[in-house]
Amino acid sequence: MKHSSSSLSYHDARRSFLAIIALRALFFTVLLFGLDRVVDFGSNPYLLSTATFLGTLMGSWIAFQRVRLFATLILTGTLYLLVRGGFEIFFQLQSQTPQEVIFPFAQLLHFNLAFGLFVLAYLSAWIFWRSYHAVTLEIVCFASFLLYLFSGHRHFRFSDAPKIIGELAWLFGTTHLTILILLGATLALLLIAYLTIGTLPWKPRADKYGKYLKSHTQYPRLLGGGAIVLTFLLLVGGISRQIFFQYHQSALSLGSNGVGLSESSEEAIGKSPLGFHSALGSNSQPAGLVRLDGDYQENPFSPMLYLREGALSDFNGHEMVEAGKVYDDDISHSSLNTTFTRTEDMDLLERIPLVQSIYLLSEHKTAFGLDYPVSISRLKNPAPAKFKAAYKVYSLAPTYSREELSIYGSGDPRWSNEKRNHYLKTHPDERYELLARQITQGMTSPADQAFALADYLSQTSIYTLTPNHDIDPKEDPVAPFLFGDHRGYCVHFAHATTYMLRALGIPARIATGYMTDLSQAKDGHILLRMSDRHAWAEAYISEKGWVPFDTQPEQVESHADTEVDLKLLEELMGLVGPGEELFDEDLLEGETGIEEPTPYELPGKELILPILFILLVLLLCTKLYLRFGWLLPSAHRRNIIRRYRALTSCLADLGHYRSEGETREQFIHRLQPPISFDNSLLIQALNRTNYQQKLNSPSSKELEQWYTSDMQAIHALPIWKRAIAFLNPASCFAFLSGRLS
Amino acid sequence: MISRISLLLLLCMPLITVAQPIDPLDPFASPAPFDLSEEDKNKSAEELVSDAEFLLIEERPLDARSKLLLALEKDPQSLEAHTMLAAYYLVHVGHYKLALKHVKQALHLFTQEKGKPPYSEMLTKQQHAHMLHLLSQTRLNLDNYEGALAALDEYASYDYYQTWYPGSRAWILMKLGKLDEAIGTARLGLLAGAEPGRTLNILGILLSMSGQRQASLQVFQKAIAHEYSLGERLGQPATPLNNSGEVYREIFEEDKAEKSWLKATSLPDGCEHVLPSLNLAILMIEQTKYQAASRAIDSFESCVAQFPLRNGEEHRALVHLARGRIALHTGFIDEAIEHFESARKRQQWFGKIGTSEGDLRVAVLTSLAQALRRKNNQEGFLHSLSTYRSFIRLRNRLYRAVKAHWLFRRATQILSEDLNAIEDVYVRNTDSMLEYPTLGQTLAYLPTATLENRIALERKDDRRGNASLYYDIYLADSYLAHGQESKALKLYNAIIRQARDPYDAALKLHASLQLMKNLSIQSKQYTTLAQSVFMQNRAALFSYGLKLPVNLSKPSETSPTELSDTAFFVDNSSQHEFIVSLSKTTNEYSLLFSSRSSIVPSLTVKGENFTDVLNKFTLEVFRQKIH
Repeated sequence: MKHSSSSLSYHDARRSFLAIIALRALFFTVLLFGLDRVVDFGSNPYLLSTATFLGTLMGSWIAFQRVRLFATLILTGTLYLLVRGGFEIFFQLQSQTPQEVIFPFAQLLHFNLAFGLFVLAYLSAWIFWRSYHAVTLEIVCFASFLLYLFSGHRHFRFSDAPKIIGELAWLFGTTHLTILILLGATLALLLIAYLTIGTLPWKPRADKYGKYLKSHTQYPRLLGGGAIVLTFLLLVGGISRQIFFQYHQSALSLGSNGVGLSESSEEAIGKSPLGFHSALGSNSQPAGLVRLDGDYQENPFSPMLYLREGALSDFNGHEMVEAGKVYDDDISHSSLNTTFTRTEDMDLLERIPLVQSIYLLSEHKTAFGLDYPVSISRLKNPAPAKFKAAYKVYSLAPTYSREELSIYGSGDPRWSNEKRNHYLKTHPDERYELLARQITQGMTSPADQAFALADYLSQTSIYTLTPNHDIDPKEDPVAPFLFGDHRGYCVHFAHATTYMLRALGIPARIATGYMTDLSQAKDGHILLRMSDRHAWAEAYISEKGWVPFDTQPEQVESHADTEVDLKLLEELMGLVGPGEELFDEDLLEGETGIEEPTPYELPGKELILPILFILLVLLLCTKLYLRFGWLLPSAHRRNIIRRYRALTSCLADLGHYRSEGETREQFIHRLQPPISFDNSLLIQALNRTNYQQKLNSPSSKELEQWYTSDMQAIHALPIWKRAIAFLNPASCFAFLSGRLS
Repeated sequence: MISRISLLLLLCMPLITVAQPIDPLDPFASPAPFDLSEEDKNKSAEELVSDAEFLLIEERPLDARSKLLLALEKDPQSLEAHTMLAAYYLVHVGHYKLALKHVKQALHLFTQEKGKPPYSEMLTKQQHAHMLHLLSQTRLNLDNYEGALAALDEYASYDYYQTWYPGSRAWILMKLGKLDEAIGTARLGLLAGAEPGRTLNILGILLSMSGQRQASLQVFQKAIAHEYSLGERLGQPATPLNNSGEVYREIFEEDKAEKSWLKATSLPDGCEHVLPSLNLAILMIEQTKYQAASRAIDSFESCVAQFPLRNGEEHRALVHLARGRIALHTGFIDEAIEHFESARKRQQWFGKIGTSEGDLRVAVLTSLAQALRRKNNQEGFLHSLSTYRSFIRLRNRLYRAVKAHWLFRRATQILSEDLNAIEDVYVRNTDSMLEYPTLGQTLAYLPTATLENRIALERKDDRRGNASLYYDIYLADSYLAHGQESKALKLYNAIIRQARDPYDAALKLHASLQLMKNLSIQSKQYTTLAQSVFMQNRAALFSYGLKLPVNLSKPSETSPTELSDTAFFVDNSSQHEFIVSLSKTTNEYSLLFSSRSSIVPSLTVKGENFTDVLNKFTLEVFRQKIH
């Protein structure tokens, strides 16, 4: 890049300068409000934003002055010490009430924070204008901060902070991964945009003497710059798209404890939705809402509830896979758009009817429900924007106790030999049988044996989402867990239990679906997350049906559990509960405590009116100063400038401004007509004072005459024009932007 | 209690409903095969409401709720269904917004049907009174105290009266800060035959808040006696027992407090409420009896697990706080941090338990900040296995230090601005969940002069002699933090001498540790204090960044120098109670920790890598095991 030290045009530089200050202040304000949601500053964000804005303004202004940074810092430090000293005096005062004692300290906390931000904004603004590399440095810092902020989501751990990812995913009805990628791409683009703006040719830069300098070449290379930006855009878009498509499926599977979604019957046969290597993420993405329409106090697994979606009962020599309707006929295998009914199995004892309404929040291919569904019927979707589908399940839910299972045998006498053999197909590795026999030594009841196996695994296993067993894809993926380090997750536990049960001659399979904790439910409503997806072993106990024998490891290396978002649960309950049509409009009008307090309330009417009044007074004062400032005592030269300013402010209010490159004389001549100046004597006086010897400067009397003469031209205008011009604030803004020169 | 009253009143209500036919063209209204509600769909709204009443009596709330919602589907104007659902959401679920919607709709329908009050018919009056009661309770739970009082004012304006009224009114007045008026209401109510148990309990709380502690204890005794007289099924003595325990703790009668809470937690109505267990746990922590504290929380959790359908949101944060504190003091800092972070995420409704969200926030923030500092102290004694890990550890320590500073700052800010100019500086304030022995570390963020002034004001009104030591330690912590060591040390020494055993054990422990920070490690006082602290709590020295003086058995020139950089001060120039023995074979290092008088069990750690062995050894020695 070629650097040039030639000055920018004054107006270009000033415009860029003001625009960049405004952008920086806006950026800081948005950042502050965002950060306040994360760290809870405890101080009014408007106060903090004002401090930041003032810091930016001050730093920018100082950068273009011939003042050394350390001098201003010393001045600021002194100011702080003075204020702090004032507080110290308050601290020493003996007060009569606790409120009086604590009040100064509370104010000091706000002051400290606001002052800290002021200094930060001040320094960053100063560096931004003075250093060519400031933009790069800022981008590096900001990008590092973003990486740190979002690093909680690495390895698909979407349940971790920052929570905003989950909130946005819920708001837009999409997945965490989509939001993460979209957010990343947007931020990347914003950084590119900032880099572009920060290095534009018309961005002014100050040197140590406070001069305006150009950053780049004289002429912007729009074509080249545009091409680079476009390339960046394509690159960011392309990479984001690629990441999304590559990891979307993995995210769904890995983020759901290694238990993927079951497919409909025919497509699923011979396949398994389970993954062995690792379940990297714990995904709090909402999967569905279950509403129990009746009490289920007899739940034998209380407080846990198993919702079955699919079953893997076929052993393919490597792992358990789905066998389809022919074998696992208790599973509905029904898609979400069909109605399912079956004849109730009267041979299954100790069951109660239980109705559940299920509202799906993420894509599912098959319906799931509690234990043994007898019918599944479609429900009207109460909120199509949120729910993907809704259905009602009528299940026969078990009510047996652990103790009473011991007296029953295993298997169903109605099964054919083929079906029995299907559920007893064992793993060729003899170690499974040896270990199973060792654990269940002396036990005869199938249920006792199954419980013993589950208890053994619960006591010896270490729950981890990243077992990372290093094995060949053709090898048994369960052996390194059971005969190795005992580190694994539900997929390993379920397989190990099933293999061992079959080795003992007990019909067994793996069930997949959701396991949820009822203690986190509210009013019988349960929020299912992807992290609730689960696989568990089941054994067929005569007259009871398929009974879960699940492992609950005592040693936990990584936590898959996350707390249920109760606010979300309540929101969903509102969607599926009685509709608003049941209630009159404005029923809750005037009630307090209903809505969460809005974090940032804009100043109310009581504040807005005084602020407007103050602004009006300020404008009026400015105007009076511009018009009549020459009446104030001042040096002769200053007086001439003020009289000239009074003249140009009148012209500005009438809509006449001096153009860029135009001399004062040309400006005055341009105005004739409508405003006819005789000789523009005031301009002559100003020029003489500015550019000629002090001796040629007019006397006070002459000046007075010339001023009166020039103002005559304005006074010649109709009175209504002059009255409107006086009410016009244009001259004040022109003065602030330096256009009254 | 509220549920019983609601139920009784609901049963008295007439059933006025109009059935609506099912739309035969609605594709979703057609009954699915085997649909359980087939039978219900042919019932009228009135019949469904009637079913729901019986289901509620049979304690099948979800079945009842489903029937009521179906009744509303049939007749959206069903007054009874709206009223019962309001009571259901208020009492069984705790979904107050929905409860408010239903009760307001019910009131609206009621006025439409019966005209504007006052009413002349007894049954109509009862219905109206019941709805106003529900409205008041719902608003109270939504922290809308003015609204709740307005509902009660309306209730009283029609000359309605039930025995719960004075108690409810007094409670709301207390929430509005009108303490004297609340006491007057409760007293008057008792004279007029108000429900004794509830009203006495509220009066006791009010008297305690106004500083009349002996009077409040007498009132609680009456409340307890009354509840016992109602028998095991109807009586609920756990609440006044818990409250009397809080007053006993406040007046430093810890034995009586402990007895009250133990009794409360052993009762059926006490085990499912978190406060007695939590109070007991805090008391045990103050006495450094961590195992007993842990047991109290375990008992509560095993009890509450019996009610799986009720969401335990209101107690989760408190349980996390208690568990975190136990972990913090026993040296399991990571576990403590996890608990505190979980507690931070929890939101609570405090309308019912007499405390505010700010109290909990401050308690969690201060505990979390302490945990972060202690984690840094602990890591300062551990060796890194590689340069990369050293860098990561340094980064983490820096992060924790900044975060701890910020959390302390926020805690003092909330204490100052939201909690009535640090009202919790009053030692053992019953509303507060702060840990009083270590509160000084938070208060040290105030300028010393401010703290001195604030404590002077508190001392002026506080005549409890035992509280003085706590005020002293706050000042001492502040002096130490602001560089006035000599003043601080004088106070710490006095506190150690005067602290009561075992009631102020945690206070004494903290004072000893703070004092040790300013003593020479080679001084005799340091050694004596270190041994005494270690005997009391094995994790304390390590967590405060202090070393334990030990003898190294069989030292040799080849002894690794890393040992002296850990939490042990190896000093063979004098005889110490504790001994560290180091042995080395070809492939293995072995470290043994033992005591001369066998007051602590010996432990050995072995391994191939000396740094690794040393870290594990340090962690093992300085952990207070409670299970």
